[in-house]
Amino acid sequence: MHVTHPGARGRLPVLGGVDLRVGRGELVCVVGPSGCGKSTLLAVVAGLLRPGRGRVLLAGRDVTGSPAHAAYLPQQDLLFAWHTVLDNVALALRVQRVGRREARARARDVLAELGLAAFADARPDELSGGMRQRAALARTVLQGREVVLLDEPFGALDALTRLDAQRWLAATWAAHRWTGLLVTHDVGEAVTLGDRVLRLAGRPAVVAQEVELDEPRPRTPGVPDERVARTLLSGLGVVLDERTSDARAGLG
Amino acid sequence: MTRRAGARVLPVTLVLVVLGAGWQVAARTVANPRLLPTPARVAGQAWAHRDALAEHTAATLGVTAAGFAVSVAVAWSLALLVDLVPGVGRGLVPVLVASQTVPVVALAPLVVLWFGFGLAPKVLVVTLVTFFPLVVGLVEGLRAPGPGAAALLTSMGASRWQQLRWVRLPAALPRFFTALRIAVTYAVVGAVFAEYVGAVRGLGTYLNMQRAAFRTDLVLASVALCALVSVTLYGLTWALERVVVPWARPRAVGRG
Repeated sequence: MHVTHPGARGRLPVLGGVDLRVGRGELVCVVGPSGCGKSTLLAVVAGLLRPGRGRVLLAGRDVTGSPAHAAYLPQQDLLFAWHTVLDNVALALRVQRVGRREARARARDVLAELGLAAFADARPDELSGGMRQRAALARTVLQGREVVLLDEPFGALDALTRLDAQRWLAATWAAHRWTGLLVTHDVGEAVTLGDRVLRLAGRPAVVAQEVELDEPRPRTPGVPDERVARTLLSGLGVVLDERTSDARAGLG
Repeated sequence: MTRRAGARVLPVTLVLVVLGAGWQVAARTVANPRLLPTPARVAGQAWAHRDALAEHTAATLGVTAAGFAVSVAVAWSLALLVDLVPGVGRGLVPVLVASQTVPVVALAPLVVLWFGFGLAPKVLVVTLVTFFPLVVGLVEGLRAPGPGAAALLTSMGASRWQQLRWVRLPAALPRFFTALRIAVTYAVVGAVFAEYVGAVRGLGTYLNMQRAAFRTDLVLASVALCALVSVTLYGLTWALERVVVPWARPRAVGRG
């Protein structure tokens, strides 16, 4: 499986020739400052947005501008209040015209697999932010697409919940080896979750930096690979205080 | 629950009792009892004329129900048309807004002139008075999920129809019910007014007849019945809302 995506251009020059490929079973993280076009990139890959120039290839097949080939998890969890968690997750299959009974059964399986079995019959507003995000991911992977696209999946969570959710995602991802593209502004998140990290920069944005992560899994969320995090952060223009970084290295 | 219900009913009852007592005192002391009968007399005469009042109330209820049903059907059709066919909204919504500036008070006699004393003109007046808040509530409700939900559903491969069915219709229901509660109170006023202008039966007709006969007690009795019908219908839509859109109201903490 590979996704090539050269020279995508919206009407505003948001992306100026971003070229990336994701190997099968790989999780590529894209970091960059807010408003740099990370979400636009995901929308193009998801087929929601047609690039001015460039193509999206899925295993050699051109899927540019056509949705329903990738499972997309938007920034908000978008769990619908009128469905139980189970039916929210089952919606992934119901739109694919799977019958209600089968969709529910398979949704229940996925929820159990992701440790959410106890919440299946709850309403979304009875769940905490972290649990809602997990349920939204359950809905995403149940679609059974070849690629999973995550747009700042933990952006709305508080710091502690986010670490917990990252830990959970790292373990879940290691177990399933989905193919995915994750967009975030959190360098630590990218470095602990990804197999590869791309940094977008510039207006229009291009891939400014690409880092392979060879540290073995599972890594400890919140304690990212110091060397990689430092190079990425300095690329983003963050000046690191020596003492803080020493303290963090000591923690790791 | 009973304690909470009691806590809600008690203040209202108190206010009503105080107002009623004030009215009773005023009617017995300063006012001419022919013009302002006491509440006790209104209640007594209402009971004495209960058969006539019941008959006319039933007629008004029938008109209200028929007109409101037509109104809801018209509102759904218009809202879905505006929502599903691009461009229709821009053409139709200004006309709908303009239609609301036409005073029904002026239009109702004409409607009776055109359609006679049957059910049709009254249904039309009730529809005219009530469909607008329903359309607005529905159109806004159908748009409530926003672009994020549309993007998610599109990425799932959902058709427009599936998006409507799974997301936009349920999302529209809470606003629809809010509009329904507002509209149903207008519906009774519309029905009574249409009867007032020209009808053989109904509270509006009865009220007009008793006014001509200087029976202020029976006029007030009819007014009270109109209010009772409105409140009952309001309560019914509220109960319906609780059953159809239970998610619209937050649950008590600690449940589930």
